Amino acid sequence: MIRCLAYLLLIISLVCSTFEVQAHNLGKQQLERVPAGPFLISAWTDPIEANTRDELHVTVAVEDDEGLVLNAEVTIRLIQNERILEDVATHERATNKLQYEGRFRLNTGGLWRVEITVKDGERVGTASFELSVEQINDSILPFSVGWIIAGGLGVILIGLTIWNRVALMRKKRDVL
Amino acid sequence: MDPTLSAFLRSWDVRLDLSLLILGFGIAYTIGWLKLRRRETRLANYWRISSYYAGLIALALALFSGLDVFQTQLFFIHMLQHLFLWMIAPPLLLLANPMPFILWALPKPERQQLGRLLTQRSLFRQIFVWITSPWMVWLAYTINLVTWHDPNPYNAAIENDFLHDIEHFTFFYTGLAFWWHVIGTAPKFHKQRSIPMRMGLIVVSYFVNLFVGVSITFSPDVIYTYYESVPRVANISVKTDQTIGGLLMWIPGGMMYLMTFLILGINLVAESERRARLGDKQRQLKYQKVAES
Repeated sequence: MIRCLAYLLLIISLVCSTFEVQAHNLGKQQLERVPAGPFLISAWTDPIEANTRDELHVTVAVEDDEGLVLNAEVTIRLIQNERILEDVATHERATNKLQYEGRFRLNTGGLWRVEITVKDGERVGTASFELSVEQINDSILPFSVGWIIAGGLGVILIGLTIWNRVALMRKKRDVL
Repeated sequence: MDPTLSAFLRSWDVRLDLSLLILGFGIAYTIGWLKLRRRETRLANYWRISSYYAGLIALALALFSGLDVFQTQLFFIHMLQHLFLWMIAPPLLLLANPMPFILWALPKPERQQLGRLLTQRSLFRQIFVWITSPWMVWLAYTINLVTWHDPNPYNAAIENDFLHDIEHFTFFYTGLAFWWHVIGTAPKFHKQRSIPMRMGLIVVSYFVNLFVGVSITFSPDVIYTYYESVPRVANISVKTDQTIGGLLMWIPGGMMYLMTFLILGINLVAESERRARLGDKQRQLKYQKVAES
């Protein structure tokens, strides 16, 4: 049974590594070292195609004349008509600890304005960009296709292992 | 501690799929190693399992640590990650001779079934042998190395996750196939290559590596323009970053080939001495027989 589970894990991971290509790069670059007051702001959004199903990650890097600014207060606001969503971006959330990351769940698609405000003592800078968010209805499947295929393969593998064992036992019994 | 270094050490991006794969292979090797150790200790020794774990750790560091996170900001970190994927992890894994251990981790019926796939007559083996012939592997290894260091595919890969995964996949697997021929570990599907031939394989690869490394190091312009669009870390300019990356490929990368060349050279001398001793013994026996008669 443990062996079967080991096989299952192996197959799942093998298949998932093929199907689930995650953004291990920074995502889509939206701002490329844009001047904002005394700062230069770079920003990325992940997933590449922002949508209403997946959590939106906004990663921000802040520079000044001396290099990267690591102790700033970074606030990200997403604005669409009257609606405003706000999050304080932190190093802890970012994969790259030199950057700041804010996270959002968007219920409505369409065009959003992303506004990034950086405060470091008296110094303040703001930059913004437009983000097109795709409206995606929730899938009827509870898991992604990759995981379903992986699970299916795992079940087949377990079935084959049991079938093999039973056939072998029958053969042995016949010989005896 | 320097804040950049601290950030580098704290930046991890552990991918569930790949970590399960690495863990799975680690468990499989350990099970096989324990089984074989109960039968015979010479094959299942401690340095082999240590080498295998070191290879898996090198792979995990390349794929999950700051090496993976910072490669989008620093070219030399990306180069270091590639060195881990094609020059450090594969030889460490192969020195552990993983094939028999992984096979022994399987239950007997499955092991036998897999064994059937590997018999000389099987189509799978025939295709595999053709694809992995030494010069075919060397060609794939070289094309891979040169292609991914061309600015266009390089910049495309760093901006596209799928291409980036393919880049890492090809680096690791061509590296694995290349070092498999050099080290001469199991499965021994091909005719056993002589040590001078393996040394030749190393020499030609060394010069390809040297050519690419020197070209990057002494390039007068920024060739990997993607890095101009991202914030600079520790105030390292794009050009300096590129030069360091080229130097890493040229010197530590070249050292790996030279070290392997030296080890193979020592083996060659040891083998010729062994042969000479064997010849002396045979001659002595012959003289003894003649004297006795």
